[in-house]
This record gives sequence, C-alpha cells and structure tokens, in this order.
Amino acid sequence: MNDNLNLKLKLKLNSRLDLIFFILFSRWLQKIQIVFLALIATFAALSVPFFQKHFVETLSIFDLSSAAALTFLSFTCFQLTHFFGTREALICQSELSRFLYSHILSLKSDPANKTVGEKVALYTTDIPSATMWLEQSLPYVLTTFFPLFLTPFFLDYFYQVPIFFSVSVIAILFLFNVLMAYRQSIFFYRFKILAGERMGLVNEWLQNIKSLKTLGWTSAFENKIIKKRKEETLNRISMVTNGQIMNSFSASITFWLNLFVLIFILTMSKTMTQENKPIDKSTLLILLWVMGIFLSRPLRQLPWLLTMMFDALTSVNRLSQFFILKNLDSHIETTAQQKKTTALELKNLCLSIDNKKILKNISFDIFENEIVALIGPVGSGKTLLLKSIINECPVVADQLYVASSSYLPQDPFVMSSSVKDNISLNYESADPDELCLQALKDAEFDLTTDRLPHKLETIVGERGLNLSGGQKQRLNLSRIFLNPKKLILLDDPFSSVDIGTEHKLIETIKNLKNKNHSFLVTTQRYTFLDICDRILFIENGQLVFNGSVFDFKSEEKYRDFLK
Amino acid sequence: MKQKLQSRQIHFSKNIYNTLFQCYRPFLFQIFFILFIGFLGRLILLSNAQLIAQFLDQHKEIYSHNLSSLVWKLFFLLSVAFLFTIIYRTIFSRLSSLAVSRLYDETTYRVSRFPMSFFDATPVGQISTRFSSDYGNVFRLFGGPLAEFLSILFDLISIVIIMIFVHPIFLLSLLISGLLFRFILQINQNNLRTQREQQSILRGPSVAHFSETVQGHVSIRQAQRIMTFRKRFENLDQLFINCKNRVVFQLMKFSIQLNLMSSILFFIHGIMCFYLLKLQLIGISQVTVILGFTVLATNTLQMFFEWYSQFDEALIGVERLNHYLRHQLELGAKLPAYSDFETNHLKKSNNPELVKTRINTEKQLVEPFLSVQDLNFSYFEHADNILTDINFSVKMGEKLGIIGRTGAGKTSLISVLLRLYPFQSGQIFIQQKHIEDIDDYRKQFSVITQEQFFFKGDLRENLDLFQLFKDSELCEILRQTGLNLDLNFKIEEKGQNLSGGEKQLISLARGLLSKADIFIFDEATSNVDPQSENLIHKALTTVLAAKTQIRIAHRLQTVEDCDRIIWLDQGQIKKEGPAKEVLEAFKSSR
Repeated sequence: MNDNLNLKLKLKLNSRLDLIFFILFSRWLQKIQIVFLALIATFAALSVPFFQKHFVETLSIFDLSSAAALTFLSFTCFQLTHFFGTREALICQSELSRFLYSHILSLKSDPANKTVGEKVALYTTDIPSATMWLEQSLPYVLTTFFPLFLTPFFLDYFYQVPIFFSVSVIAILFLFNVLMAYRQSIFFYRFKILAGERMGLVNEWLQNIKSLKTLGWTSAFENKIIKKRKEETLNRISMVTNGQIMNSFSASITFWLNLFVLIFILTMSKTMTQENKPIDKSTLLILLWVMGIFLSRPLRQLPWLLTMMFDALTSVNRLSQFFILKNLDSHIETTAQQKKTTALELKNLCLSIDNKKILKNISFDIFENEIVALIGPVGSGKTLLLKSIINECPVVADQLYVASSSYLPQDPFVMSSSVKDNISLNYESADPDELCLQALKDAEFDLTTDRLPHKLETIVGERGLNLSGGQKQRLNLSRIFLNPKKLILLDDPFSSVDIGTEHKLIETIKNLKNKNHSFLVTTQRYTFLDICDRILFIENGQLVFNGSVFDFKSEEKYRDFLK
Repeated sequence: MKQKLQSRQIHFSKNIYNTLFQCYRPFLFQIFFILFIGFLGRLILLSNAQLIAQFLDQHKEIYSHNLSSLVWKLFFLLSVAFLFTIIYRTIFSRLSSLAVSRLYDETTYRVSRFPMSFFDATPVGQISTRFSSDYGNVFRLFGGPLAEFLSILFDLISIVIIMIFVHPIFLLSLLISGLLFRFILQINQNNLRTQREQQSILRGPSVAHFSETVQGHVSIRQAQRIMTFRKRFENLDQLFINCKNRVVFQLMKFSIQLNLMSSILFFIHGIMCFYLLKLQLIGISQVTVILGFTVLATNTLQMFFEWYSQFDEALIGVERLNHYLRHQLELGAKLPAYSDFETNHLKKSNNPELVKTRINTEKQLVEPFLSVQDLNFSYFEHADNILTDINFSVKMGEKLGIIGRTGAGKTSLISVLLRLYPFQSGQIFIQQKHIEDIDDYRKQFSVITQEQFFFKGDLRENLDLFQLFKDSELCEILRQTGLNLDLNFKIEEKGQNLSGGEKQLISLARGLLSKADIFIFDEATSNVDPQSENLIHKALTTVLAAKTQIRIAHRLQTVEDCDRIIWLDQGQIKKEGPAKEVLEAFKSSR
C-alpha cells in the first residue's frame, strides 16, 4: 500500500471559503502585481485627455508625444494585466485539476451519485470557469471598475460635475447590467445542462450504432437527438437575444452618456449660471471624451464581466460541494489472520448505506486452494460484499483478514493505451511480452481472431480501437492472470463471453487453484457451480447457505432457484 | 516537431464555404436586409461625434439656446441608431443560430449512415468531439459573436468614412496603417493558428484520461497504481496548460504590437491635425474627433482581431463537420427525404405512397425466400477471408440452424447477412431480387439477441421508438412473447435491470412489431437464466412457428428442431443437411 501513502496533498480545500480563498489569494504577490498594473493602465488612460486638451489648445508637440506615449503605456499595461491574470488562472487550474484528480482517486463511493459525465465536467468546465475570476475578472474588474469609480471624482474635481449626478448615472447603468447578466447566467446554466443531455444521447447513439442499424431505428434515434438539439437551440436563441440586447446597450451607451452630458450642461447653464455666459468649448470636448472614449471599453465589458462572475460562482459552488465529500470510516476490530490456511476470514461484517442495512452479520472463511461461488437473487448484495472485502465500502466487522487479492469489477476498465499497458495497468509497461501474451491466452483473448491489427501494441480504449464488452472483460481477466494474487475475486466474469470461452476460462481457474490460489466468484451461470468447492448463497444481505455443491443442490428451495 | 508545426499552413477546403452557404440558404434575403440595417445603425451612431464637432466648430460661442437644437437632433439620431442596432443584433444572431444548427442535423443524418468499418476504426471519443466541442464552437461563435464581429467591422468602416469626411488626407494614413496591421496579423496568425490547433489536439488525451480514471478508480486503487495514474494525468494536463500558456503569450505579443502601431498612428494623426489646423482646413473640435476615433479604432481593431482568431477556430470546427458531411455513406444507404444539404449523396424520395406500392409487390411469394451465392468476406481488404464461398438458401417458413466452434465465422455471417459490412464477392437475394436500399433490405430481418440496444426509458419507448403503435397492440405482442412486464416498466441505462432472457424477449417483441419476415436468433452468450430460456424456446416454436428462422447456436439443443443445419468451420460450410445428420457428424468430430 506504499503507493497510496503518497496521496497526502499540500492543498486542503474543506469548504467553499477555502476554495475561494485559494483561488483569489494564493500567490498573493503575483496578484498584487496584477492590481498594480491595472492601476497604472487606468491612470495612464485617464491622463491622456489632459495632454490632448493641452495639445489642442497650445498645439505643443510635447503634449502630443506625451498623449501618444501614455496611450501606449495604458494599452501595454492592460495587455500585461490580462496576460498575468491568465497565467495565474492557468497555474490555479492545474493545481485544482490535480486536487480534483486525486480526490476522485481517493473517493471510494460518491454519495452525491454523480455520473461520469458530470465528474468530467467538473474538470473540463467548472475548473476553468471558477478560475475565470483570475483570467478575466481580476484584470477586467480593475480595468472596468477603476474607471467607473474614478470617473465621478474626476468629473467633480476638474469640471465641478456633482458627484451625485455621475454616481447615480453609473449606478443605474450598473444595476441594469447586473439584472441582464443574471438573466444571462440562468440561460447559460440551462444551456450547459441541455448540451450535457444531448451529448448523453449522442454517446448512446454512437455506442449502439450497430444495433440501431440492425433494428432500422437510426432515423428514429436521430430525431430523438435532434429534438434535444432543438430544445437547446431554443434556449440558445433566448440567450443570444438577451445577450444582444445587453450588447446593444453597452455598445451605444457612450453615445447616450454624451447626450446626458449635453443635457446636463444645458440644464445647469439654464438654472445656475447667467443666460449670457458662453460655455467653455474645450471643457465640453473633454467631458465628451471621458464619457465617449474612456468609458467605452469598461462599459462594453461590464455585462460580460458580470455574466462571467455569476457563472464562476456556480462553478465554485459545484466544485466545493464535491471537494467536501469524504470517505466514511470502516470499523474493523482486527485484520489479523487467526487460522492457518485461510485466504479470507470474515466475522460479523455489516454494511449500511444511508441508514439502510445492506449486509447483515456476514461471517465466512475461504481457505487456500478453494473455489467458492457467491450466488443469490438480483440485488441481494453480492457485488457490495465483494467490494466490502477489498476495503471499498465503509463496513463494521469483528474481523476482516484478506490475503493479497486481485479483483475483477463487473464493469471492466480499459484505459486509452496499448493492450500491453492495459494488461500491466501501467503506462509504458515493462513487463516482458511473453508474460503478457501468456496472460492474454489464459484469459482466452486471441490477438488474431479478436482483430487487433498491431497485436500487443494496438491502442485500445476511448482514444483507440473500440473493444466489445466481452473483449473488455477478457482483457481485465488477463490483467489478473498476469500476476495472480492469493485471493482472486471475480464479479460476474462470464457475463458477456460465449459458452466455448466460458469453458476455457473455467480451465484456467482450475489451473490457478492447483497453484495455490483461491477464488470467490459471483455468477449467474450455474454450470460453473459444478467445479466449485463451496457455495455461498445470500438473500437480502444475509448469508443463508454456506456449504458444498451437493448439499446446496439437495435442498429443494435452492434447486428451484437454479431452475 | 516545432519546425514542422510552424511551417504548416492551414488551408480550408473550398467546400466549407459551400457548406456555410447551404446553412444560410433559407435565410439569405433576411440576412442581407438585416446586415444593411445594422450597418446604417452603426454609421448613424458614430456620426454623432462628428455632428457635435461640426456644431462646435461652426459656432464661435455656445449658448444654451443653440445647444438645445443640437441636443434634440442628437436625441433623434441616437434613438434611430439604437433601434436599428438592437433590431440588427437580435434578429441577425437568432437567424444565424438557426442557420448553423442545420449543420448539426445534416451531419447527424450522414454519420448514422456511415459504414460500420468507420465506427470500428474511429474511436467513439473522436466522433463525439465533432458533436460536442466542434459543433459547440461553431454554434457559439456563429450566434451572438458573429453579430458582434460584423458590428465591429461596421464600426471600423464607419470610422474610416467619418475620418475621410473630416479630411481626405486621412485616407492615406489609414491605408498605410491598414497595410501595416495586415502585416502584423500575418506574421502572428500562422503561429497562433498552429498553437491553437495544438491546444485542441492536446485537450483530448487529458480529458479522456480523466474520464477513464473516473470509471476505473476502483481498479486503479486495487492495483495500487494511484501514483502512476497521477503522474500520467499531471503530465497530460501540464502539456495542455503549457500550450495554453504559449497561446496566451502569443496573443499578448500580438496585441502589444498592435498597440504600438496604434500609438504611432495616434501620434502621426496628431501631427497631421497640427498642420491641417495651421492651414485652417479643420477646426479644433474635429481634431478631437480624429484623435478620439484613432483611439477608438484601436480598441475596436483589438476586438476585431481577437474575434478574428476565434473565428479561425470555428472554421476549423466547420471544416471537421464538413469532412463528415461529405464522407462516403454505407452501401445502399440513402439520406432521409427531409435532409436539405446537397452533398452528392442519394436521398430517399419523399413520396410515401410510391414506397408503399413497391414494398407491396415484393410481398408476393417467390421461392427461395433468401439465397446467398458465392459469398466471400473479410473485414479488411487484403486480409484473410473470414467467410469463403458460402452458398445456401432458405425457403419461406423454413428453420435453418447454424453451428460451429468459436471463431468459425457465425457472428460474421450475421453481420454480412445484414449487410453491416460490404463483402468482397457474392450476392444475397431476397425472393430472387437484389434490394438496393439498405433500410428496405434490413426491414426484412429481425435479430433476436440480448445484445440489442436498450436505453433509459419505459418499456413502451424501448419497444416502439417511432411511436407507431397503440398500447393495446403493444400489450398483445407482449402477451404473445410471454414477457411479463408492464409497458410503463422503467428500463435503466443499457438495460442493466433486465435479465439476459428478458432482453431476448424484448428484442423478439421488437421484431414482431416490425413485421420482419426472417428472424435471426443469435445465441451469442451463455448468460441466460433457465426460466427465460424456456420462454424463448416456447416463443421460437409457437409465435414464430410460421416465420423463416435462422438460428445461430452455441448450445446444440437450440437447433435440434430445425429443418436444416449448416456446419461452419473456418469460414467454410463443412456440412449441410437435415438436423439430425449434421448434429451427429458435429458431435462425433469433437
């Protein structure tokens, strides 16, 4: 188990606050740097109109050069802000991805019952969107909000525009944007769900294409997908409509502000000053500049920035809800071996999930060189008993001794790599080819009839050749046979192999038994029982029979079950 | 490796523009009209500033009474421009979303009809990427962002027009800077493109690895391979992150170059204004307009290029979908009548009555019902034959058994009979006719197997996906098969809560509903509980008594009551004859 000991991570994310804190404040020096750059960008941009005004008034080339230089400075600082922000986001993403990956590997059962797709979405969607705060928001918040905050004071100080007036204009704009952005984020959320559902159908379609063709159902299933696609498109259309209204406002808002400034000057001059005093032209121009040019970028960004922030928040919530899940503890009095020739000893093993008793006081031993079948009706707890034995369930037991063991899951596991890597369950496997070929042979996996063009080097899995269910099962068996442990647990090993293969696999099992290995096998195929040394029958989580095949078959109740 | 990437130029094939045209075809008129409105809106909006400047230069002194007329004029223009903008943006992005979603449907119609060999050779993950991220990119960008992109383009054109309106000399500086911008774009674009492409290539492995780990975490833990897998993931993820970092760096470099250019342009325009003012060709306010617009143009140009490179990515998506759109279909496959794109594929006629009469005439009985002549088959070209010189025929109502050891070619024979794979030579006739249309052909067959397609939903849906039958009809069929399940029974994903036998019975019910003439019973695996075994056997001998049957057996009792049996050995017919005779020969050979 020394491999698993290294799992301790530096990072601890036990609550939502931890996660937010980690995203925003880890590597704080770099983040201060970003704030600083954004400040320079803003101040540089704000001072451009000064020099420009001077230039127009005095026609001094020095002023023009300063304005041009400051324009460049502000743009460059803005680009750097964005660049460093994205870099921080990427660093944060890779840290979080590693944490998530380790968390998934250490989490034995998932009480939230997320599907594979949902967990993958945590990695592909939620982590990037949670770090949007750094990638987009941190730089943009500064370049968007600094101008918005500074403008009222600027206008008040230099042009005596009352703070009250400019603040309320900006506040109204801001509120409007918040509302629209919130609406947008709801559409966006629904879009993600619909796209996920559609992709579920697409995968079902692709994985069953042969059956669909055989059944002549392709067009019916296509239309099922397209129905979902249409639902998604409709939501998308409402979303773009909302987004475009938002955009239309933000893209023309500067011109409305210009108009407001003119109206303001008009009313101010009417009420406060004497009728005949002319209005200062360059003041007017600079006011128009601030409203028209300086605020144009922040105001264009504002709605999207807010939408992104809402979206990031939902991702942060989803991630932290998953991060706080913990493995439940097992309570086992002793794991010591008490008898001499056993591979497994089990005393009073109980398992409850959500306060429901799944396994009740199960006790049995498995001795060396023994093949034991575990049978029972569907849902009686066979798979969970196997998982309890290999420490995958939070059990309570007086004793649980397990010799070194290997386990064949009901759902076989294939990784995207070569056949050889799959047998070793290791990337760039160093196991000798002969051993791998022998393991394949033991598992009845024939490289020629199973149509693997590059033999052991054939890439299989999601990014390689598609294997059938039976092929996957046999590949998993060969993984066990490569390096068989003392106790071998097989969960329904014959579920998708044909009868000829089944017979040959049984031969392999018998051979291994003679080499001092023990087996515990769940199966629905009862011809297998004839070669078993013992049968365990469980019903409603209770072990109701533990004895020889002969005794089992002589009880009428069990004879009926086998029929 | 790096050099190779950089030297690679990406050329989009010409027919992707044709594909895009086909997407937009139903909306062409609306689109052009709305584009015109959009352009007008932006031009009016931007000319506001020019209007103010002109006003300021024309009036020596500004008083509130002359200002108010300007305010009203501005208010009117602004309202019109705003209305136009909002109409353009909403309607255009809605139409454009609808247009590109047509690409999705059309690709789906075609992929469904690809040959099986395509699905064997192409990883599912790769195909599904076309429908997830590739389509996602296209759909996202061609909706709202395209409206935004075009409106940015309108802004740029409007800015140029307004500047030239102030003084034609600016045309010169704008032209020169336009060329310089193009130059900057060109030196950056290839680099960015390859980096971006690299980024999307690197995404796949890390996501696939993650998804595998989620599914196999128990196996990984049990085999004590956590560190191995973590290392693998960290490597894959880091490769992707590094590439993303390079893209961001490229983008920053590119943007700063653009900004430097813009600042120089700003300076040059300042100098030009300086002389124009001295020559009294323009007024002070117009100087502000020029300088203001120069900065605005920089902002806009920046956004323009940001979107531009994103559209590049979307076009890669279109290209990939387009590749599927023009891919070869399986032999005899026709697109449904409602598919709309023209891509040189055969299409079904949309006159249902014509189809009906054709099928009706085929129902007149001609013997033999099914005949297979000189069939040779291998999965790949130049590979060893899986089936050699297969000849047999089946009469109407006859029951033919097929036996043979594992690997003798039984399963391949079914695949070939259903024309799931093209065969090298030979012919299959139904009532002495070759049926060209693959759908019509497969309608003649029904395969009873537990490896059929079962999906999450109730039994009703699982029996009748087309929703053609009444509940009473479905119940009658269920009664005939002896399947004791309610129509509302909820079937789980992949039929996990069904026993092997129940799956066989459901597939039998499906076959009965489709009114197939030939039933192929494929006893592929041994995983059937004894209860269902009895039910199936009963169904084969009662409900299907009058039907033509081909039974592929693993257990010999399945074929004991057949009229005839074919014994397959190493892809060849070793013996054919009455059941008893062949079975005895087979048994004694073991």
